[in-house]
Amino acid sequence: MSTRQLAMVIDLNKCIGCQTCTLACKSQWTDRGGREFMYWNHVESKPGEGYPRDWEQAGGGWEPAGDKLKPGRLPRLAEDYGIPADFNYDAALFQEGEQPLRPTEAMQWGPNWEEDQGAGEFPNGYFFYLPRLCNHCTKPACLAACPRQAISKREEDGIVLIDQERCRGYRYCVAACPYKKIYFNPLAGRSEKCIFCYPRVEKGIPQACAYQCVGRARHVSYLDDKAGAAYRLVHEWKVALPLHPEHGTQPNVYYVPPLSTSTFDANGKPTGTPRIPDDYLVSLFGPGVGAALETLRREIARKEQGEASELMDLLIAYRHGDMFRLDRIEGQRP
Amino acid sequence: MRAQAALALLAATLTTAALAGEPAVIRATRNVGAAAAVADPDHPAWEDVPASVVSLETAFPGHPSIVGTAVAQQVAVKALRGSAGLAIRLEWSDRMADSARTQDRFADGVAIQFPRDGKTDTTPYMGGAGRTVNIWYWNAARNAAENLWADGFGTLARLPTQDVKAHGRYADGKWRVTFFRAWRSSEPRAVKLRDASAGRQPLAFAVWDGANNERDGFKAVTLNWQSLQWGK
Repeated sequence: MSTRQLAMVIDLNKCIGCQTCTLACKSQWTDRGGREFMYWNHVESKPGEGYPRDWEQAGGGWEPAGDKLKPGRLPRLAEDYGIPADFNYDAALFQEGEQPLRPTEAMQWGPNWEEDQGAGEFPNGYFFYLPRLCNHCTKPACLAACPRQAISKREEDGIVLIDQERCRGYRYCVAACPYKKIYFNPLAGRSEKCIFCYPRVEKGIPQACAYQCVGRARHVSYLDDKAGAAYRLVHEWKVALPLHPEHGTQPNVYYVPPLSTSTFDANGKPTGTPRIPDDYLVSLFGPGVGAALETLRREIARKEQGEASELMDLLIAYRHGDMFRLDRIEGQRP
Repeated sequence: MRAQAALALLAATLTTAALAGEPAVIRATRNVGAAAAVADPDHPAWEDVPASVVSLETAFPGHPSIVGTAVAQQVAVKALRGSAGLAIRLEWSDRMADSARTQDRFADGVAIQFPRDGKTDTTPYMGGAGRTVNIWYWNAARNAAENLWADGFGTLARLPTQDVKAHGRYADGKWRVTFFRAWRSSEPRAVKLRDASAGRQPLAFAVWDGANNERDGFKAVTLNWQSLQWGK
């Protein structure tokens, strides 16, 4: 366990699924060298199988007692990550006849494959966006699964890193991560993952995904910094919850769960029941969902009445710079 | 004919010895063309070299992540010595050649481990503190050698001097992989083979079947040091 923990809070009520975070990350870290298929950060539509496909059913994490790793499986290349298609450019563009541009081989899966698909029947269909990245867990299963001690958790900020000198690409970490947020680089023969933009963080600059978020949905601060958004949203207001806490890794990316509009009954009248079932949200974010949504509704109502709401002001994020508090303790700046 | 029969008998004896837990003795045959032979696992020079068949077992798991039963059961070992250096050819059965290294697949591999100081009281399970081992590793994805060292579980690392050559070929349900190194190496952590005239060296073997997701400590190994001998 590290002395300090840098945490991110993502407000799912503000995420519009634009993938600016995905591209900010990709263009900074993973656009070449065997990383083309990797998404250290991506946004998936929920409910859905996600990326890699079916990651929620792929095992990993800790047994409930917390002393033993749960078995996990490696995602499959074609079926779960998906192989980018080649297109028949030559036939379609340069040969005679009217041949439509088509993939030469049918794709099976890919990132954002089921965008906006969601669940439910008209008029009560629903979906929301779930941005995902390495959770820089307090109790990382990946670290425990590596026989080579290639994975470490930084003392000063809790960032979990794979030492590229020590990694030999055995991929026990890929199987052990319940979020399947470690990727094997077939060109390098090593496993790689989100580094929480530590070179930026060390200079006091927020992560690319957070800084570039056009919806101002991502807050970053140290969990022990009581003036920081992470502490206030996670510990004080208790509206930011970890993803799949049942895996026991104690993830440090937190989510403000999504509110949703009412379902309609057969006569087209609102029922008052939210479209996104509470049970589904509980299956993702644990038992704190009910209280978190209640707090959000209460504070929204206050704001609507023209009353002050510290929570709403925090989530609205009037000033972009207020969303990030990365100053380090004196003497810890590298 | 008589010589071949004698070699067959010798090989059979060695097989029995290895199965009984006794170290197999692998005698390096003198051949001036050893350096050339290594480039081709099917070079005619290997034909007349007697093979020692060494039995393999699933390695002790050194970490909770390592689970499973390894596939390979034995490896046939041949050795050639020449003035240029020492060549070792390993041959084993594998249902398919796994030479692709993709997100969900592992490559076949083979390795030879030596106690650096040539002493058999160094543990053959990746060595120990102060008792380093030198490992010549080949895998089908790179089809080249990697010169490695270790001093215990989880310590395997690449050596700065990469002076081991290896080449593999898959045919008829078998991998044949040759390793070659000059007698002397400038690498201080490399095994000391000294020279071509006379010597013996403990060594151990490991085989990985990629199709069975074998990698790292999930492998078929010799549980004891075997003996490579060369002399007049």
